[in-house]
Amino acid sequence: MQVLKETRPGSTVRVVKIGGAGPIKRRIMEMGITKGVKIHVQKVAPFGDPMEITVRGYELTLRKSDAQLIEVE
Amino acid sequence: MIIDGIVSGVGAVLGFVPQMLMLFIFLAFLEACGYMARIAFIMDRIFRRFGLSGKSFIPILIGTGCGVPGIMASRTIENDSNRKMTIITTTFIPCAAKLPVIALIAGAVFGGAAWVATSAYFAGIAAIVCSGIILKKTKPFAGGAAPFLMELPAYHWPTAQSVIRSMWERGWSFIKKAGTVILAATIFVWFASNFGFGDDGFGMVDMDKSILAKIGGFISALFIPLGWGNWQASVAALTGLIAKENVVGTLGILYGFAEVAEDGNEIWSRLAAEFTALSAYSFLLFNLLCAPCFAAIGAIKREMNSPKWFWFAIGYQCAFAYIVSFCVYQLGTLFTAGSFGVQTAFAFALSAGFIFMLARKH
Repeated sequence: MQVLKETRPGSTVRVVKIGGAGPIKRRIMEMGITKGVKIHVQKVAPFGDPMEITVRGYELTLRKSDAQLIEVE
Repeated sequence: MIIDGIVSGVGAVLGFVPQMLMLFIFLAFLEACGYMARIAFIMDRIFRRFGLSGKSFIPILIGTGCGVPGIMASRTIENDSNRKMTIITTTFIPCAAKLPVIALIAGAVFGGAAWVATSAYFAGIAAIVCSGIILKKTKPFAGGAAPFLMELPAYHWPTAQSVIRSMWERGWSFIKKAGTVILAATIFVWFASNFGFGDDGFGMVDMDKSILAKIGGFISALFIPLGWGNWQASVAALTGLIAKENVVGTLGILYGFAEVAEDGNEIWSRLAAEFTALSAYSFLLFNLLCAPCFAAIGAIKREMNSPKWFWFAIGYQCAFAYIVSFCVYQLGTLFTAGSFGVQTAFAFALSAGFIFMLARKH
């Protein structure tokens, strides 16, 4: 199963499952990343960590440790 | 009293208002156009390594202008321990008011060497990094990393109205503070530096007989291990709490000049006689790293919103400044003069403890 962390910049994927628990999972879903939504990976920051994605028509940044929890296809 | 005490004291602080308003305009512009979030995006990787978040870069950047809006800018950090750590470390970076102090020491003792000012900024950055690493490993700051999910707003041209409003809100809260906390503090210092027990009882006296000189003489014992145990320097460090540029003015008055230029070049020769290169540098380091001015202390109190954390922040800053100055002076004395004493051994012990705190496992 592919996770969002490994998705290459420039590709578009669909969310299958959101892992994690408690506040982290809630925060991810609060920001609009829910099952079935389309995510376009824009780019990765110059130092290699947070990544920038487009979800539901707006730009969002998240750390790779959080992106690890999001399963995509 | 009104002219000398209040006008010059509060005036010195209010004199910063136009510059601060300019700074606030540009910061409000950067925020409103959506760039600040991008800075946080880029810096997150680096700052996370020492217990801060990418958003901590913004307070520190603003802190190079003035610590008060810098500390207020920490509000955008959601994670509690990241935010507290940012509040504690933001004022380590030299603010605009600390520049006259740097100019005074660099000019008077180091012949205007360029490395003094440069090293002051690097010392500030090093203090932030080391504090971050040390505090991250202590119990209250342990706990898992919070998610860093943040909207990156689309770039847009901000409206003039929103920029002006944001500038005015921040500027006004600073002016209000200058009218209350700083006013009370300046009245106290003015009173304490002009009154004392002279030959004919309590009354107005010269500054070297004043209450302030007595206090300075009393606390100067604390600063002897740092190499600047004369009461003038101690009083200057105290009045530096009101506003850091006061250090220059106070030293000027205490060495017998009514008014000094911003870099205090009238008293350079007196300072060069009183300080060695090492004790001057230790004095500079202490004043840069210790508790900030009352305005910033007030901002820390408000943003921490808890007496316990407020006193922890102030105590940590002062202890950190004291230990750094102590080690620099004592170890420096060892290498230049070759004298080894109890204090040198203590400085070695402290340095070893410091390195242990930095290197120990989480």
